[in-house]
Amino acid sequence: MAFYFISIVLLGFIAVYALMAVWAERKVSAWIQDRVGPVVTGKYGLLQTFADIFKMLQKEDITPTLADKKLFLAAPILVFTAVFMGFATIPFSPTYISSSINIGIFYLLAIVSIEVLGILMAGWASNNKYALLGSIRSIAQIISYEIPAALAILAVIMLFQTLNLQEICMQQGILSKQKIYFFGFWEVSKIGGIFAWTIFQAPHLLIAFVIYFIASLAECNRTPFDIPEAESELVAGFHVEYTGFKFGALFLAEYAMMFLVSMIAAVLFFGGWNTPLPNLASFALADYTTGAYWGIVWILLKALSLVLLQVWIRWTFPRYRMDQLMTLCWKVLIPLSFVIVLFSGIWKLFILN
Amino acid sequence: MINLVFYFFAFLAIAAALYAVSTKQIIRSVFAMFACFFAISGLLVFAQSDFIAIAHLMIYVGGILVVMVFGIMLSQKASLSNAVLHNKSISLHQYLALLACVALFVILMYFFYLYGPNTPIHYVGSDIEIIGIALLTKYLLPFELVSLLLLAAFIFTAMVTRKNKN
Repeated sequence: MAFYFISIVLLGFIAVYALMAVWAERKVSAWIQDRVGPVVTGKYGLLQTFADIFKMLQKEDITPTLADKKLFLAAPILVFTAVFMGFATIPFSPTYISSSINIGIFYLLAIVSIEVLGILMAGWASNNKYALLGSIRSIAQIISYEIPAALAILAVIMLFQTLNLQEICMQQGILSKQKIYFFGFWEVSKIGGIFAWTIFQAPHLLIAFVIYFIASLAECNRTPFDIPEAESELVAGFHVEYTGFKFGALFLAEYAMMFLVSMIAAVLFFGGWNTPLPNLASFALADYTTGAYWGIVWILLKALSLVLLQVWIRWTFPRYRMDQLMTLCWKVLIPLSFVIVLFSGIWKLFILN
Repeated sequence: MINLVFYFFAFLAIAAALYAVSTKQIIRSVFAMFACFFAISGLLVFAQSDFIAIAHLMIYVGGILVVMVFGIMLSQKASLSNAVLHNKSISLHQYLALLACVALFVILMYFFYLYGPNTPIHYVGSDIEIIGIALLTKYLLPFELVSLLLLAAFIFTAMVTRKNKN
């Protein structure tokens, strides 16, 4: 029963979130560039993206004459389904999780590769050179950045010894069955809060988070890695031929993907549904603020803050060139993430024993 | 309901595989292969081996299929349409491939008859701990051999790309 409930609520939430994220993106970009952004539609321009989406849905659904019609239709469906499937193993609170499987994070890594195939399908079916170039760039970047992302995740799961995301969350707060140490020396199993989060359990995991975050920006095709849809070079990249509802689905998938990678980061590095408030002396703040409903609040706050960080980065950094992007991945991030995996093994064997 | 899902996956696997070998458009055949692999992953979940199912998805879809599509996209459309996909005469290496397929099918059927459809399944769970310990104790030699093969492939790839540059 919980499964159906969560999936329906989640679909609605993602639709509303995507609209609000677009609005937030425009507002944040406006503030960064010293403008005011949308102000006319609704209070603070809040209804701007709702108006945009109604305009978009009314548009004519155009399929190019020489496009591969079946693949052209299947691509947005595949992309959105793949991203939405990813949410199945994300724990929202100690009790709400659609599927608490033992291979949760491994499943999520496989899901990302299905999305890649959808992008390829869209780029090929459009029969447009810009779309094709965009999707080739997108794949080259996503399959390269999967490696440092997977290694950074490996560094975390080596410490927790499980692939189940619910158990990873458990081991970062007061509900943990194992003992938790703050940087390996101070036991915080009963104190919990911010001290028990993954990034504070070992010194190298903060670097692991930075690597994962950079790689996740590349996987979402976000600036500074947005060369697949670089407006000045490729018009709009792989979705240049899409209009109306199909474009809406691709757009929704892109924002859902941002949210998905932020959720994974929140679960793996920032305690998932655990509260940031610790138990201090007689103030048992962590005990009060841990529970089914609090969990949903905390994990959404953490994930949405990370989405905001992605937006902030988009309007602050310029775009990378293709060769710079590959240099960063293969010569900087991958060697660094191998060192982090090695360090994780050493930490598990010698410090935590 | 569960049976229906099983038959859906089985039908999808066979139909997609047939489409993949019969279609004239090479890119469609690759995407049909994706549907086939996806359905096989679903069947593996029914066989209670979800780790293998996800690994299958990750290696075949995330690795092999993406590289195949990548290769198709980088080659020119004209050269693809001129390529002969359905050759009537069969050459030697195709006979070898056929032989390998038949041999694998015979092995599969042998195990099928050896254990029969009514053999109870000893479900040991999909815990990664069991898989990890089995890989590093009982199956250490095959595991290391496969790693060696992959390393050789890596070095060869690096060599090939470097040659093309000069």
